[in-house]
Formats: sequence, C-alpha cells, structure tokens
Amino acid sequence: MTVVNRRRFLQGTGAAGLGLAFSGLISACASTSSALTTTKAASTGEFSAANIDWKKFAGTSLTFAASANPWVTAIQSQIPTFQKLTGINLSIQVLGEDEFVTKLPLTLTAGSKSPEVFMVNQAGQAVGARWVASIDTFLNDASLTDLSWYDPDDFFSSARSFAVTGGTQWLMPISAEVQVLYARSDLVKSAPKTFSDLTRAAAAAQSAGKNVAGLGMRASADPSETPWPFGGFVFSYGGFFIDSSGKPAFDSPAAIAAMESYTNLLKQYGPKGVTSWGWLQNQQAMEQGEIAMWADSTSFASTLLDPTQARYAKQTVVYPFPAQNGVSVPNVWFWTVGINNKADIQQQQAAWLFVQWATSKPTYAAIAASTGTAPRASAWSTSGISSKLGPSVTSTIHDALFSAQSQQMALAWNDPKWSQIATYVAEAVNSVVAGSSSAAAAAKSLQSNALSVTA
Amino acid sequence: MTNPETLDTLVTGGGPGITPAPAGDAGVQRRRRTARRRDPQRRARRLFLAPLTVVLAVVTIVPFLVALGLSLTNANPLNHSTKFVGLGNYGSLVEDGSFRSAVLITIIFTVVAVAVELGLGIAVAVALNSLRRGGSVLRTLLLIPMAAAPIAVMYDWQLMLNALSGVINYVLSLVGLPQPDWLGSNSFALPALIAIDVWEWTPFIMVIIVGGLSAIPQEIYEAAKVDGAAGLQQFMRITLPLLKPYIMVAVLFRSIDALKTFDSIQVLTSGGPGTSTTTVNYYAFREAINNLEFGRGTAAAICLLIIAIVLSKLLISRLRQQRVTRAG
Repeated sequence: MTVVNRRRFLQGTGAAGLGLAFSGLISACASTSSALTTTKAASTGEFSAANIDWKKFAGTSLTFAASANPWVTAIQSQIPTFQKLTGINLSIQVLGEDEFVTKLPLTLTAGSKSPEVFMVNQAGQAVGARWVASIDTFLNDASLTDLSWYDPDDFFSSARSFAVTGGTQWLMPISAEVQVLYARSDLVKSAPKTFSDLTRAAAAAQSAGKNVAGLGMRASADPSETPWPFGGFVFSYGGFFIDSSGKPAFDSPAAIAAMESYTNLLKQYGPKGVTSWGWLQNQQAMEQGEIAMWADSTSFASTLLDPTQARYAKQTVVYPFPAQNGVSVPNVWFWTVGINNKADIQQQQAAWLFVQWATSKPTYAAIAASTGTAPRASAWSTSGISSKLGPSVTSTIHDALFSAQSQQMALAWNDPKWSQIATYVAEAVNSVVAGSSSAAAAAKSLQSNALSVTA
Repeated sequence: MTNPETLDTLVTGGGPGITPAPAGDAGVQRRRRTARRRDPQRRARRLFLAPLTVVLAVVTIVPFLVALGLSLTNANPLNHSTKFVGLGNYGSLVEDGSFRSAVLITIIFTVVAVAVELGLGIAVAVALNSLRRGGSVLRTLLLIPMAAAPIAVMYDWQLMLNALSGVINYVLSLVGLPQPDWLGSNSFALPALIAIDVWEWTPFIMVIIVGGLSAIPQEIYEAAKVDGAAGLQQFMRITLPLLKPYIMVAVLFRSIDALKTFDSIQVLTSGGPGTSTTTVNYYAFREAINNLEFGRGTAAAICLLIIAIVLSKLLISRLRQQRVTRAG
C-alpha cells in the first residue's frame, strides 16, 4: 500500500493545484503546455499558390465551436492570417471538453444553423443525426478546392479513414494521437515489448521504486475517459468493441482476456485511488514520478518531457505500445471538424474554406511546434515537432502514427450508439478495478447492455 | 422570521384576510364568497400578481408539459421521426435494474444526508443561540460552505479526497489511521458524498432553526426555570416542540434539494465506482444529455418529480397536523 507522507502530500497538493487551475480549460486528450508556446504565423503568400478564390465569401461571418485543445489554441493565433486572406469574420467559441460534449449536441439537435463549423466528439452521433454535411461534396468541388495543393493523401491513412462512414467522408481530422507507453527510465530500463513484459516491468518498478506504483491507466467510470486506453488492450488482443458487422463483441475470448489484463495490472500495480482516475490524475502522477509507467495518448508528451512542468521530465521516456502474440494495435484518436448541415449553402462553403485553410500544409507547418502533433505526414518532416519533443520521441510517435490502425476504433466511434455503449464500457472496467465484479462477469454484462442499446 | 402560525399559513397556501367559515353555515359561506368576488382589492391583487403568474407559467409549467410530452415519445436525434410510445419509457425504467438501483441510492442519500444535517443544524443553532458574544460573526463564518460556488468546492474536495496525495489521507497517516480510497471504493464513495453534502448544507438548516429559536418567547423558558425544569427538559419540552414547524420546512426544502443532487456526483465520482453513486438525477442526465435519449431521460426526471411531490405531500400534511394540534 502506498504511504502518504508529508513530502508526497505537498508535492501532490502543488501538482493538484496546478491541475485544478487548468482542469476546466483542457480537453480529455490535451496537454497543458500548448498555451505557453509561441506559434509563428503562416504567410498569406503560402496560400496564394492555391488555385482557390479565397475572397469568394468575403464579408461572411462564421462561428467555430471548439473544445479546449492545443490545436485550437494554435489556430487562434493564426486567425488574423485567415481573416486577412479571406475577408471572412470568424469567431471561435471554446469550451472545456465536458461542457463542449454536453452543449453542442443540444444546440445541433435544436436545428441551429450556427455554429457553422464544430469539432466532433462522436462521429456516429453526428452522422446518424445528420448534423454534418458530406466533406466529399466540398473536396470534389473544383471551385472551392485545389486538390493538388490541399493534397488529402498527405493525411495519415488512419486519420482519413477514421471519419469515413458508409464510404463517405463526413469529417476532417485536425489532430493525431496514438497510444504509447510513458516510463521512468530509472525504474524501467528497457521497453516492455509484450503485455507479459509490461506486467514484469510494473512489478519490478513497484518493488524498486520508493512509494511508486508500477503502472497507471485511466479507470474512472467516465465514458469519455476509460474506454480509450482500454481499447488498445482489446484491439491488441485481437478483439473489437464493435465488430465489422456492427455487433458489440465484448464477450469474445479476446475481449475478456484484455479486460482481465487491463484490470489485473491496475489492481496489482496501479496507484491507490486509481478507480477515480482519469487522464489528469495520471498525468499529475507521472509528472511527479508517483507512477513508473503510464499507457496513454501522445498528446501528453510535450508536458511530460518539459522540465518546467514535470519533475521527472529528464527521466521520462516514450516507448511503443506493447504487443500480444506479436500484434500491437495501440488505440488512436483524431479530433475532427464537421460542417453544419443545417447552415445555408453559402455558409457551408465558406466554412469549408476555413476547414481547408486550417488543415492545410502551410498551417500545420506553422503550428506543429506548438501542438507537437499533426495528422499530416508532411508536418512531421519539418523541424517544428522535433524541436518540441526531441528527435527520438518524434520518431517514436511518427512511426506509431504511420503504422496505426484506426479501423477498430473507427468501427466503434462511427456507431450511432457509441456514446451509450462507452458509458457501459467505463462502468464495467471501473467495477472490475474497484473489486465489485470479475472481468468475465463484467464483460458479459457489458455485452448484454451493449446489445440492448444496439438492438 | 414569521411566527409558526403565519409560517403554517404560508406553507399551506392560505392568504391573509381569509377566515374559514364555521362548518355547516352554508348560507354565510355563500354570502362571503359573493362578497369576496365583488371585492375590488381582491381583483387588484390578482391583477398585480398576473405578470408574475404568467412568467412562472412560462418558465415552469410549459417546460414541464413539454418534458411530460417528451417522456411519452422515443425522441432521439438519431431517430429521424419521433413516435409516441405511451408509457413505454416508464415501463423500461421499471424493468431496468440500474434505474431501480438509482432510486434506492437516491433515497439512501437523501434520508441519511438530511437526517445528519438536521441533527447537526439544530445542535449548532442551539449552541449559537446560547452565545452571549460572537454569535453573529460565527454564524457568518458557518455560512461559507453554503455560499461558495458549488463546482469550485467540488474540485477542492476532489483534491482533498485524493487517495494518494489528498490532505485527508495525509492527516490520517499522521495519526496512524487507515487511508481509504474515498472516491474509488464501493464502501466509501456514497458516504463520502453524503459527508460533503452535510458539510455544505448543514448551514442552511442552521439558518432556519436559528430563526425559529429567535421566535420562541423567553418567558416560557423563565417560567420553566421557575418550575425547576433543567436544560435538557427545556430543550425536549419547549424548544423542540416549538421548532417543529421550522424543522418541517427545513426538512422539506433540504429533501427536495438532496433528491436533485448532481454537482458532487458529476465532479467526484461520475456515478461510480460502477454505478454505486448514480442517483436518479444523474441517471436522467446520462440518458438525456450523454446518450441523447430524450424520452427515457425525461421519463426518469418525471419519476424524480413524482418522488419529490410524494415527499412534499407527506411533510406538508405533517405540518398541517402540527397546526391543528396547536390550535386544539
């Protein structure tokens, strides 16, 4: 049992106080460092090379609804460039992720024409409820898009396919995250290659470290927290959340084995109180060196590796996600944006100009240094991300994104009922880690609940 | 603070100037009703109240009717046509084990929290009332938990209850006591939420009871003292009986609020671990807002309203019984 001493309490209170200050402002997959980084502005000349009439909708006003996120913070710094280029008046409404995912569906359900552009948290919900217009319509309109300049193929294939439903692209990716393993190099000397290695490394680190838990991961009952990292275990074990026929698959042998692996690791080597931990608590613990390893998103890399923000930054390394039977399928996440299907056609077309500009090569080249990630391959060959994360970490993350498979997560994320199913997933994992259910029983109950929702 | 009789009148809906006619005198009652209808002051009172009545109707009755209508449909943005399902949503809630569990957790939370708040509130109010100096300053300080912004307070509690680095477990470790996982354990999560509710809302009950205590004439205590009544006897035979109307009002208001508790659950436990802190209100929020099942969510909210109405009726009828007993 981890002992709370005065030093750890003071450290924890200081870190937690920082977390309290930022907790209402940052999203579930965001780093705390992006707001402090200066971005260089992309010049309008880089956009003039495109065969696009950027001034076509000059004088139009648009609203962009966004969840607080490093990409949003970086884009806000580029808005003067956009407004000078297009003459479009753009206002950005930013909310914390909890508020954003609650408020936006209600606004769109009411049939509002505004916001014209918005970030999308649940693709299945947005597409199923017909909130978004087809991106293919705009991509294939030569009067609005210069395909050779925009180069959609520059996006990672996993990013593009993430937002394709029924053969139609409904959304554009704006950020790219993949699941990796953060570790304290003083306690974990080499990368755990398999889940068995991970278990051994967690046990060894917990024994060697003083008041250090072997491994932290999300385990709270919040549907926006726990299902994501749990997904990497399920997919690597060969399972699915929702299979290719659209049926829940939580009671497959692979999914049950993944549930046992994930929950046993936390029960044996997780920090005290992990059942109420989301990404924020794990990040704080990793910054303070209270956990030896943390399997989560690359979006936290910039904070964990920053000595001004993390006490153990110099000892923190980034390893690839482990494999099961030679198969490693770390989970992926791409924040996306969609265009309001209820807006007037002219507003939709003006919104597409914003999306095209915001997700273009010059814009990512300008903001990559502050976001530390990009869904475009070309952004990774510029110096921006490498200057922020270092060459080694940049290479690890780039390779992980380049080889990532998004199909498994996309099958779930594009299901219209995923938000309900995610609630059951979070409850199931949480109940097993809390000791009120076995993994097999929780998986079976989860399958039953998921089937009742999708029936 | 008003005296108990006026308080009774306010709570039971009567108005000033309305004197019930003696039972059996039908002709007198008829003449009085006619006189009231022709009373220009009564008409003026109605006219003055009309704008407020309209506003209240728009912001409370209309939304309620809309919610009631929604609860009878399968409204969901993913359903491109909304269909009337009658009591289907209510039926599915009754069959849903997690909803039944939410009802039980709601009742446990409300009963335990309000009972503890009542006991503590009365004790603190009596203690404050007996202070010769500093009572008003202390009273103001004791109101701080109730006055602070709830969400900010809940984030503070989240830090303090952190099993690894929270101040509460740190203090417990100093004295060698066990340091439980307050928010992540099935055994401690609901009691922790109850304790936080007690900390936050005991001042509310204290304020009502302090008002009630100030309305009790001191002559009664002096007379009791002359008769040889000790402190505890005075409390049990004088203070408590005279405080009963105030206690009923405090319990009524607090119970309705406790039934609707949301912020502490949302911030601290998200209804977990598992569903051990999911109340009906949180269940309704999850269904309607997270899952966009508007029909089911509003049906759950209507069920909560029914529970609140039944509770209110019980307490108000007890209050009326108290008034009849005193009048007799």
